[in-house]
Amino acid sequence: MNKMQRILAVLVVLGIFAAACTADDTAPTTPDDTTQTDPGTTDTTAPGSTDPSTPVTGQTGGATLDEVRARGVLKCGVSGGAVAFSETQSDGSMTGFDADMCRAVAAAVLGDSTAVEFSALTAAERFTALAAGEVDLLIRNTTWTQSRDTTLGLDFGPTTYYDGQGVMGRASDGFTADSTLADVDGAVLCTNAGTTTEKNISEGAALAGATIVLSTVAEFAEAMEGFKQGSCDLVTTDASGLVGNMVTAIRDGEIAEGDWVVFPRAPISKEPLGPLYRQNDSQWADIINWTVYATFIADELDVTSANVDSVVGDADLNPELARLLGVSDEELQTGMGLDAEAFYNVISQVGNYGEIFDRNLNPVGIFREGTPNAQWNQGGLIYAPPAR
Amino acid sequence: MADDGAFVETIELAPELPPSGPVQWIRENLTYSVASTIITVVVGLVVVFGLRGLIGWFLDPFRKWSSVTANARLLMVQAYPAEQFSRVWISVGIVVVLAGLSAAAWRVAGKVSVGQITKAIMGIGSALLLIALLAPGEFSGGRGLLAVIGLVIALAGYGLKRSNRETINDPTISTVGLAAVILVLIAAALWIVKLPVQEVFADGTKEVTNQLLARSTKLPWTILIGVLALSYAIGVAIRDAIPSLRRILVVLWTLSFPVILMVVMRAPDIDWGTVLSVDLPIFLVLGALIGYILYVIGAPDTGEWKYIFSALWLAFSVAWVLFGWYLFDTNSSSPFHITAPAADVLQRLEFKFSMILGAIFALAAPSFGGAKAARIRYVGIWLAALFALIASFRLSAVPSELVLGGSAFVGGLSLTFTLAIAAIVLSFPLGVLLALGRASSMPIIRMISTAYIELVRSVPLITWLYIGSNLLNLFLAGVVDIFSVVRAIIAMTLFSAAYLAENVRGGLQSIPKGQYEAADAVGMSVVQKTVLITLPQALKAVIPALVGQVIALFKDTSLVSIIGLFDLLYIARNVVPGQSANLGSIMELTVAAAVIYWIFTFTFSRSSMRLERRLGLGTR
Repeated sequence: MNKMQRILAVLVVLGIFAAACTADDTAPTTPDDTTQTDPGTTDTTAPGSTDPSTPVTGQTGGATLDEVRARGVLKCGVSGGAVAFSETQSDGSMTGFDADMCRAVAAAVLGDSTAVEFSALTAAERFTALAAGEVDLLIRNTTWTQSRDTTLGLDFGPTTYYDGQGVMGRASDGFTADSTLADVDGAVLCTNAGTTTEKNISEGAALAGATIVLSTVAEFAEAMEGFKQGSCDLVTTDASGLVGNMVTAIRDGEIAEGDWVVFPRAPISKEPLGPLYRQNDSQWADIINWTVYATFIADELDVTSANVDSVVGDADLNPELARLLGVSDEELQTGMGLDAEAFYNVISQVGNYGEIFDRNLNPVGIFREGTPNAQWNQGGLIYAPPAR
Repeated sequence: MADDGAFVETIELAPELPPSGPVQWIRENLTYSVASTIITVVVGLVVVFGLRGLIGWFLDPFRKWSSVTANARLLMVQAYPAEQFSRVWISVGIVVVLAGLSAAAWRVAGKVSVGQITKAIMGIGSALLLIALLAPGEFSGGRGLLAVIGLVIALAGYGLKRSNRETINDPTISTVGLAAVILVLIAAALWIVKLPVQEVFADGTKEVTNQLLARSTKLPWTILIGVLALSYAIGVAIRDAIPSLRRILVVLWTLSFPVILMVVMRAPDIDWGTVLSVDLPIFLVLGALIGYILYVIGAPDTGEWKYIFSALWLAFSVAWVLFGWYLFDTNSSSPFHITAPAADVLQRLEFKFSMILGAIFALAAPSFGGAKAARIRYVGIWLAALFALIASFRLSAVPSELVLGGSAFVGGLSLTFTLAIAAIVLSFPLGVLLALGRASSMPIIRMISTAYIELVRSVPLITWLYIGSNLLNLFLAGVVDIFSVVRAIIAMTLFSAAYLAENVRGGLQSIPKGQYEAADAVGMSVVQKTVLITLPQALKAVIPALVGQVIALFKDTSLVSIIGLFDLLYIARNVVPGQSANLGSIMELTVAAAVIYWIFTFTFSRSSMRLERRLGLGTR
C-alpha cells in the first residue's frame, strides 16, 4: 500500500511538472513561432483550412464541383466486385453499370467520360469514404433506405436500378417461376450472413407460414457453391445476382436452360439502387440527379450515342431535347454550373440509360422488359421530371 | 567332418545385412501385428478415397482455374496503373539484387546429395502417377499421358538412384548449381508453358484459349532471374574484399523497405520548395544543436546532471506533443491556434517529434559515448536518425503522383507484403524495448510497459485496426494526411509489439542468474549487460516463438479488408469472383490464395529452422 502511494505521489508530481512544462510552451521563443516566419506558410490567420488535401465533411455551396474541376478528375466510389455493376477486370480497368454511371457524371462535369478515378470500396467503408471526401460520388449498388438517407450525412440520387430479393431453386425439386414463399416449407436455404437478405427471407417465410432451415456463409459465392453441390435446396439474394449466376452456369454448361428457376414473381423486398453524395451541397446534388435524368430522358426519346449528332443537327428538334442537349438558348445546364453541352457529352460519350443498361446487364441475362427498370410509359418506374 | 590335424581354413563371412526392400519395410512398419494391419488398411482406404475426392474436385471440368491465371495481375498488385509497372519491377529488382548479394555474403551455398535429388524426382513422378490413377471419372487421354509422364519421371529417378548406389560415397552437387538449373527451367517455362485462359465477350459467349504462363511479364521475370545470378556472382567476387559486407547489407535491407514503399511505389509528389525552406532548416538547426549537446553529454565523465537534463528534456517534449496540441494548437485563444494550412501543422509535428528523438538520444548518450571517436560516431547516428524521421514525415504527408483505382496505392500480394514486412520490422525494436521495460527495476517504466502490453494484448487486432483507421485520423484531423496503409501499419505494429515483448521477456527469464552476476562481476554497465550478454541469449532462445509470430502476423494482414484495404484474400474472394467471366470461382481463388500464403509461411518456417541449426539451438 505504502509503495503504491509513493508511486502515485511520483505520478502526481510528474503530472504537475508536465502541465508546467506545457505552460512554458506559450513563451514567444518556442520553435512554433520560428516556423511561422517561413514566407511560404505565413497564412496562419486565414480562417479555415485552405488545403484541398484535407477535405472537411458536410461541405456547402458548390465545393464539390469546384474541387472536381480543379482536380480535373472525378473520384467515384464503386464496389469493384459486383457482377455487371462494377467489375474490376484482370487488367485493372473498371466496367459495369455503376462504372458507366460514374463515367456519365464525368462527361457532364468535365466533358470527358474517361476522367474518372475509380475507388474500389468495401461495403463497410463506402459511407465513411464518401463522408470523409475520399470520393466525390458513391455508386456502389447501394440500397436507398430511410436510415441511410437520414443518419449518414449523405443523400441519395434518383434510383438507377430497381432490384428486389428473389429465391432460386431447382426445377427438379418442383419449383417454378410461379412458386411462392409458401412452397419453400422444409427447404434448406442458403445466403450470406449479416445482410438484410437474411432478415428479409426469415421474416418473409414466417409470414407465409413456411419453416425454413437457414444456412449462412460468408460470401454469396459460397452459398452458390453449396447450391451447386446440393447441400442447399435454395439460395437467396438480389434477383439480379441470382439471374447472373444462373446465366453464367448455363453459359459454362454446368446446367441446362430451365434447370434453375428464380421466384417469386413479386420480389421479397424492394432494393432501389442509386448514387449517393454528401448532403448540403445542392449544386452537386443537382448535377448528379440531372445527369441521371438526362440519360432517362434520352432513353425515353430514343436519343442514343449513335444518333445524338444527327438529332442535334435536326432543325425541328423536340424543344425539350434542344434544351437538354444545349442546342437551344433556353438551356438550363449553365444554371447549375455545367457547360451547355454537358448532357450532349453524356449521351455521345456514354449513352442513354437503355444503352448503359443493355451494354452491361444483358450479357448476364438481365433485361428491362416487364421489370420496374422499363420506362414509365412502358409499365416501368424509370421516370424523369421534364427538362424545362 | 574335419580331417585329423589338418588345417582348416575358415572363411570369415561378412556380417549378414538385415533384409531390406519395400516388402520388408511394409512388414516392419505397417503390418507387424493384426491390429496394425487393420489400422493400415483402414487409414489407407480413407487416404485413397480422400485423395480421390480432392483430386476430383481440382480436376472437375467446371472448376474455373483460368480465373486464377487470368487475374494474376490483380492478385499481385490490384489496380496499380499499368504505365507505372516499371516501379513495381524496380522494387522487385532492388529486393532481388539484395537477395543475390546476401546469398553470397552469408555463404548459403551448400551441398546436396544426389540421393536426396533422386528421392525428390521419384516423389514428383509418383505423385503425378497417383493423381492420374486416382482421379475419378472416365480415364481420358490426358490422364493417360499424365500417368505415363509420372511413370517415366519416377523410373528415371529410380534408375538414377540405382546407378548412384553403386558408388561408395553418395556424391553431392552444389546447391548453387541446382538453383541455377531450376531458375533456368523457370525462365524457359515462362516462354514455353501455356495455360488455358477464358475470355468472355459482350454477347455472353466465351472462348478458352491457351496463353503463355506470364503473358506480359515474361521478359521482366527473365531479366530478374539474370539479375539475381549476376548479383550473386558480384557478391561472391567482392565478399572477400569487403569484410563488412554483411553489415552493409543489413543496413541496405533496412533502408530498402521504406525506400521501395514511400519513394518507388508511391511516387510522392514532393514540393522541393517546402523541403528547402522547412525541412532542411529544421534538419540543419536541430542536427547541429542537438548534435553538439550529444557530443558534450557523451563525454566520459560521470554526472547526474546529464540524466536529469535528458529526462527533463524528454518529459518536456512528450508533454509538448501530448498536451500542447489541445492547450494551444486547437485552442482559439492561444497565439498558436492552428488555422494554418496542413503543411504548417506538419512542420510543427516534425519539430516536436525531432525533439523527442533528440531527448531519447541524449538519455542514451552516456552509455554509447566515451572516447572522441565514439562520440563522433554517435552524433553521426543521430543525424541519420533525424534525417530518417524528417524524411518519413515529409514522405507520408505529400500526395502521390499516381492515379490509383482504390483507397490505397498498393493492393493484393504487394499490400500483404508491405504490411507484414513493415509491421515485423517496426514492432521488433519496440517489442524488445517493452520487454526490457517490463523486466526493468524502475517502477514507472515497468508500469508503463506492463500497462501497454496488457492493454494492447487484451483487445482484438480488428479493434486496433478500426482505432488506427478512424481515431488516428480524428486526432490528426486535417493535419497530416496519413494514408490508409500507414494507419494499418501503425495499428499492426503496436499490436504485434505487445506480443513480441512477451516472447522476448520469456527469453530474458530463461537466462540463468549467473549470467547477470558474471556481467556485473566484470563491471559492465546496465546497457552493456543487456546489449552484449542477456539480449543475444534471450533472442536466440525464443526464435521459434518469434517466427511463429512472424507467420501469424503475415496471415493477420488479411484482416485489413475491414478497413477498406484490398489485400490478397479480399481480392481473391470479393473482387475476382465479381467478374462476369469468373462468376462463382470463389473456391478456386480461395485455394489459390491459400497456396500463396502457404508458400511464404513455409519458407519462413524452413528459414528459421536453418537459422536455429546454425545457432546450434536445441543441441546444447
